[in-house]
Amino acid sequence: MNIKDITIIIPLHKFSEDYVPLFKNALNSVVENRKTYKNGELKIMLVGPVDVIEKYDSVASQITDGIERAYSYEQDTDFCTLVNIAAKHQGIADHFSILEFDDTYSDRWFKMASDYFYGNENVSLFLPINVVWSAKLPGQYQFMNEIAWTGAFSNEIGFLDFDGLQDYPSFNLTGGIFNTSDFNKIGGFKPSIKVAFNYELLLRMTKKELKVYVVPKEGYTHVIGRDESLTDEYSKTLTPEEIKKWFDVAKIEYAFTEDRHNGIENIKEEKIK
Amino acid sequence: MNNDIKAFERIDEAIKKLNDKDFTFYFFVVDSKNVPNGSMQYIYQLAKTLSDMEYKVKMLYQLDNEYTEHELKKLKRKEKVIDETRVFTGVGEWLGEEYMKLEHMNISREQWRVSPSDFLFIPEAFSSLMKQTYQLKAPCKRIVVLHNFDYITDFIPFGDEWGTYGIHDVITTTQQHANQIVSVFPYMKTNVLQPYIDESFRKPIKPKKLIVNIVSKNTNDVNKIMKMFYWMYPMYKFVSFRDLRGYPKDKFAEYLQESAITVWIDTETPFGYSAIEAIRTGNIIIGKVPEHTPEWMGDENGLFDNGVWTYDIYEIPTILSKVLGSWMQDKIPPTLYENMDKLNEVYTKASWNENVEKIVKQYIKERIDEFNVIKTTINDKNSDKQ
Repeated sequence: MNIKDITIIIPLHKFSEDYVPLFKNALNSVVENRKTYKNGELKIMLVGPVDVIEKYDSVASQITDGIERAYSYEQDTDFCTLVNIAAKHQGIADHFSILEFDDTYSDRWFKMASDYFYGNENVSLFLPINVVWSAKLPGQYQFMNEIAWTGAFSNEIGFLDFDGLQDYPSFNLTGGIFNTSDFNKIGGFKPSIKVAFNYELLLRMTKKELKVYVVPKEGYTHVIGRDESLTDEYSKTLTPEEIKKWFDVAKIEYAFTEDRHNGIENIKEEKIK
Repeated sequence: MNNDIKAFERIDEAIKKLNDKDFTFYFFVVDSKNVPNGSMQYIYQLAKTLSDMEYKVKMLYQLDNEYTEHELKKLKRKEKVIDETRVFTGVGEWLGEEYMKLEHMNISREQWRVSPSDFLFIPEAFSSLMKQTYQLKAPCKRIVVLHNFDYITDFIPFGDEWGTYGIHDVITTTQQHANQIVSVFPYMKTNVLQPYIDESFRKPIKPKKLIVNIVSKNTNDVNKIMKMFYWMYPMYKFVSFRDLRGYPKDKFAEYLQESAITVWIDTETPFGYSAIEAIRTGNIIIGKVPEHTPEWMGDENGLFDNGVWTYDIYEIPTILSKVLGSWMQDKIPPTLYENMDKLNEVYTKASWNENVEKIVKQYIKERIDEFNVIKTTINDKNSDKQ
């Protein structure tokens, strides 16, 4: 499939004046990408509760127009639920990407990714190599998703496959370019799975032989450990053992399309790898 | 008088053969044992081009005790150990089987007959062959093929020079070499025949993979660069290196097309086929500048921006980290790509063919002129006597 328009989904859980500069940076990174991405349009879709979206809307309109909105009327406004809502929204393009409001795309990510569309028409998810900054340790950063480019990770260099994922669970899917239809077909994210929801989705995709390719370019800057962020919440509320259990849950749940809300209660200590 | 008539007949016969393309271009070669070698590549390409132009071509080599075909078959049938030093392997596996289809002859075993209308091309390193053919009064025209200037000084005995062996013609790969040889042997007639890069080295349609090639003849260089890079830049430990030594040409081209960056170290090369091949396939080259800067890499004003060059091998890991970082962010300066593209316009097969034809026709004409001068000299001598 020839990739043209891409919807940038920005999940918005709650509003704070402190978030506004971060949100502006995120939006500006999309605007910057529009200068070089020539395959189609980069549309923006804000997704979240009505009151939250309305507050961000006024900020967004100062930067760009034509923003779409997908409202969440559910009680849960977690990241996975919001992305699933947006992916099913009628205004979504054939492909979408997820941008967290406190992250940014690199200036030329979509252009760089589009160079890799040719010859990879059957790929369901193009991931960038993410640059991960620690909010707690300024100046320190690392790559994520880059493992696909090591010689022996998978059967084909650059691709993630089910076998390779068995031994390495650490991936970040924000910034990636998803095939909307494939994402919805396999059931989207599973909101009940904490920490390991990215991993579970990748296992499910690769088990169903959907192709996941890591474009060997720095495409997205992801901040971890920011106060009140999801990663911060996990680090405060989950013990290392519980985190391991969630990854074990992912290894069980990938076989099911629907979210079965199976928690870590049933994972026994001895089963933890 | 009878002798003169015979001489006239022989000269006329030689001229006729030259006009009728009824002569042979002989090329002396060494067994590269399937190890890629720029000098042999150049000679085989020249021979193949002449063969394609329907000239007679024969490759000569010298191998004492070479197995006969029968002996080889017998050894293989009986599954006995084959002494590889007694086998002429050639260039088939790395350069292509079409080059091994050129007629080959072992002059240690078969008698090599040569006529005045023939030409013998001798690689610059073989001063011994230049001397032998001079002492044995080989009647053919002898032309040296100069690919690497250092090989001349490495092998020629003290006190000798090419003039001592009656050699006055040389084909060089670059003008720089032509100037260099004339500076030591001022009587040499030079013809510059720039090498060409095979058309299989072209930009791929598919996007580049994040793979770094290393092209070096030396294992120590490969290890040094890889290990230092991983130690100094652990964040890039995911980057895959590919050691491209010893691959056949087709595979070499395929790997270059796949990858994004190539580290190239060949300090002794006079030309640097591999580097240009890598550039042609769209690789960013990080290279150590050879002892003799190839003409495409720089001139008296400095090095060209068609690669990332250094004089210090220990700088390569740091340069590589910077190039990688820029490549991963699409921030390689466009001028680098523009200068790389300029190299696509030179060293083409078309210009090579044109030059080969021009040079060969010139040699044939000069040879005919030489014969006519001899005829005139004999005539003049006879007129004087009368």
